[in-house]
Amino acid sequence: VHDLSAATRGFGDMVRPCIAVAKAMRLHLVVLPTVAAAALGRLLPHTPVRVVVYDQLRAVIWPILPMIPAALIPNAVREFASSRARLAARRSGPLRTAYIFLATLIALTAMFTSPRAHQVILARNTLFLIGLALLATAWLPASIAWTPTVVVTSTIWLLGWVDVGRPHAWAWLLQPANNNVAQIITAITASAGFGAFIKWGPNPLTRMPEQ
Amino acid sequence: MIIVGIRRSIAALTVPVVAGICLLPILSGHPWRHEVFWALFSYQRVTILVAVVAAGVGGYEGYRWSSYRASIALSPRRLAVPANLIVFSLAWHLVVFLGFAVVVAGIAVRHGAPVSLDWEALSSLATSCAAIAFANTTGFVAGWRLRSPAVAPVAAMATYASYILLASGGYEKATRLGGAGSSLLGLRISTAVTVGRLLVYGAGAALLAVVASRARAQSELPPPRPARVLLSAGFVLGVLVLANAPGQIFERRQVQVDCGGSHPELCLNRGYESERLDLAAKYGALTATMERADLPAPHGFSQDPTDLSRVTFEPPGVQQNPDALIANFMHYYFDKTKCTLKTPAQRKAFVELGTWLAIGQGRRAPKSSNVTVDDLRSAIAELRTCTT
Repeated sequence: VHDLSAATRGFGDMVRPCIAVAKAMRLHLVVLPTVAAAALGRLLPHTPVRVVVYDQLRAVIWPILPMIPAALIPNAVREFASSRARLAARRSGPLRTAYIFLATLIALTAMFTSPRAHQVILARNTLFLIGLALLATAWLPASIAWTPTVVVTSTIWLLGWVDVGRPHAWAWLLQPANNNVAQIITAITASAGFGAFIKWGPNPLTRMPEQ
Repeated sequence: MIIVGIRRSIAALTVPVVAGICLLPILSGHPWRHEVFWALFSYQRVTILVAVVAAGVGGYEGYRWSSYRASIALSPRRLAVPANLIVFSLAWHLVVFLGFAVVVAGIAVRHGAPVSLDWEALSSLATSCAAIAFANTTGFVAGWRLRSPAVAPVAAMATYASYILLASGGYEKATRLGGAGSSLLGLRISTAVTVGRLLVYGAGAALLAVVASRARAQSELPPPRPARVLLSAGFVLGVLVLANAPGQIFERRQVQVDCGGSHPELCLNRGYESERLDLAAKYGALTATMERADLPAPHGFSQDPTDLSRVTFEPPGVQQNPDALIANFMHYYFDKTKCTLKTPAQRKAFVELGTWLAIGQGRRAPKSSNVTVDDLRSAIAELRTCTT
């Protein structure tokens, strides 16, 4: 029986395992850049971060938030369908947890922080992006299946504003809740995406054998 | 070998995507067609979108090649290998991006924009390329170290998110790599900003590539410490230069103009020569309206903002909007740098003269104002005294 009370152990005996754990976790990769960033912050002239701007940003960025879970769909689907995942004792735990966490976070944010019109827009955009992601999973090789969701969303958000709060007519992801064109585009993309995915499943083309 | 690597890179699959992105600013009208620098700078607005794709592609390439890490470690040139792999995926993006830049410059030149070897245009293109390389390398290193295909979308979205956060947080000196809504004649990006950006993005990309080279099996070669130290110093220097650069991204300088015509005399940059007739007709009509009523009228208009003897103007705005043209014409009667039309009398004088000019051009119904020529004379006298 080992005596594990701290009184009988030296200071080194307590510190050494901590260092070993820190090393194993590669904490120096986190600590060193943090120290460097802090030192750099001291050297640089004081740059006040304009929080107001971030508030304004939050007011306009929400329509494209569903991009985050949608862009991960092709990888997640492939991961769940892989032979490795089928044979594993626990099925893709961390990935699935992270994914469900993200989706829940966005859903909760949408439910509690935005008025009803926003919820409709968020639901519409989520449906569109999931459809697009499934379409990409079915048709595109694994290596580039993420591009449609990311590129379409980021392009529309970057170039789609005439002015703050006033989108171009073609920027369907930014349109108000009662915009028919956006709803038609969403309906077509979503049904095509779900249909293609149910019929063909993930595209087998990949430039990488399963590891 | 390099050609084979470039051909096999998954970046080849994203060429249509990048080409589509680069085509967008060309499809959305060409107000920039008279200036090479303006054309290229507004085209460069797509830099961030190309960088997003480059980061994702880099991420997948890093993941793909990471499974061959053991064989790569046996290569006699192993230190250089990750750097080469990064070039494979980067080459496509840069070729497409620069290819469309040439198209944009070609459109400007075809419309008569003067071609001198534009250092400002070339250096800002180089900054864009460095930023794309930085995004690509970041993605590659993340994929190489984390060995997951999910790095691709995450790297792409992280690039976009960090751009948005930095751009809206007041770090424009680092992030505003392109995009201009009006003429850039007489402006150029300040040297400190260009040098800082090139150092941050260029040295940052190279540093990441060198760090990735370290992630290999046990090696007899020492890690490339001097390179890392040098590149880190370059990166930090770049950040310091950017942080201490003067507030404005652009520096003002003189505009080269050719003067010609009389009643009124027009001084235009060579790129706007094709607009001379149109501008002469528009300003001529206003001048004639003033002269018919025997009121003082400006004798000349110039694109050079440092020209104090003539009324200065920016062509696309005054050509598209008749009200902007009249407002610009009225700068002859007061100093726009000093006069802010504070008092009611000044504002009344401004409105009276502006409305009368608009009636003269058929922009307003003749009954909308009943000022006399004497009223206009006193309005002009009022505006001339306006200095605050």
